[in-house]
Amino acid sequence: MRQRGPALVLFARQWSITPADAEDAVQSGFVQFWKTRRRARDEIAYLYACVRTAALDLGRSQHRRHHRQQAAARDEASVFQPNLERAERRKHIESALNQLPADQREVVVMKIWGELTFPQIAEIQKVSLNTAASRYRLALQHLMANLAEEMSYE
Amino acid sequence: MNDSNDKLEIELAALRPRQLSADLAQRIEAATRTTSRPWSDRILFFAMGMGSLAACVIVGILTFSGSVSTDPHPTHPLQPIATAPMLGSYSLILAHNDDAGMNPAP
Repeated sequence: MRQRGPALVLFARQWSITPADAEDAVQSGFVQFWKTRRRARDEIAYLYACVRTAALDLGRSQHRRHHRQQAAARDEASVFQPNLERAERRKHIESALNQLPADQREVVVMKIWGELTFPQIAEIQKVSLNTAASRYRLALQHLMANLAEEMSYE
Repeated sequence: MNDSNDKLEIELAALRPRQLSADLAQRIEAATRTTSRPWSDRILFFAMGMGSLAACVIVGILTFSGSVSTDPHPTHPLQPIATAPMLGSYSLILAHNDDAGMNPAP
């Protein structure tokens, strides 16, 4: 859990309004995973699926209550570890990530920080392998477009 | 395009998500510790318990029945069903038969 935890919180943060909500979702999802893990074919994929469901449920129940605070809360704390040298860059990347469509952002988080494979991602999102891979490619293209002003690739 | 994708992936991967808060780690640990065992485990443990109980009952029955049948010194000896004939009984029978032979019926 200590190894997967940070990526899981980041993953849950996509549907959570505050960092505390994301942590609650991870806790709830992990407990659900722990109780039913024997039925999982792929434990890591199943853990992410449990956290995703918990975060979605929690997000739905709290959405109305927190709607007004949402924008403020997102800015209140970065989801990444602070790095003074590249603070500005990190802020741009977070902003670019938040602009991605939800399904693409989800794939990026699982692939980059969760270190999941495309078959695992496809299982969690209940889509084909090709769809998961194409969502990832599209997400990277969108991210690059969003960051284009300040990045000089090639 | 692939090269720029790779660069972006490397840059994204260089950003590390925040560490788990100590509070969350403790909450998860406590929750998983108190989480009850799954039903499959309960059924397995119940079956093992019942099997052990059945084995104990069988061993108890065998031990008890063995102690009754193999006791070499019973506290209450069994009474004989029939008494052996005594010496005087034979002479009385013979005398009775002799009388019968001396007085034939008319």
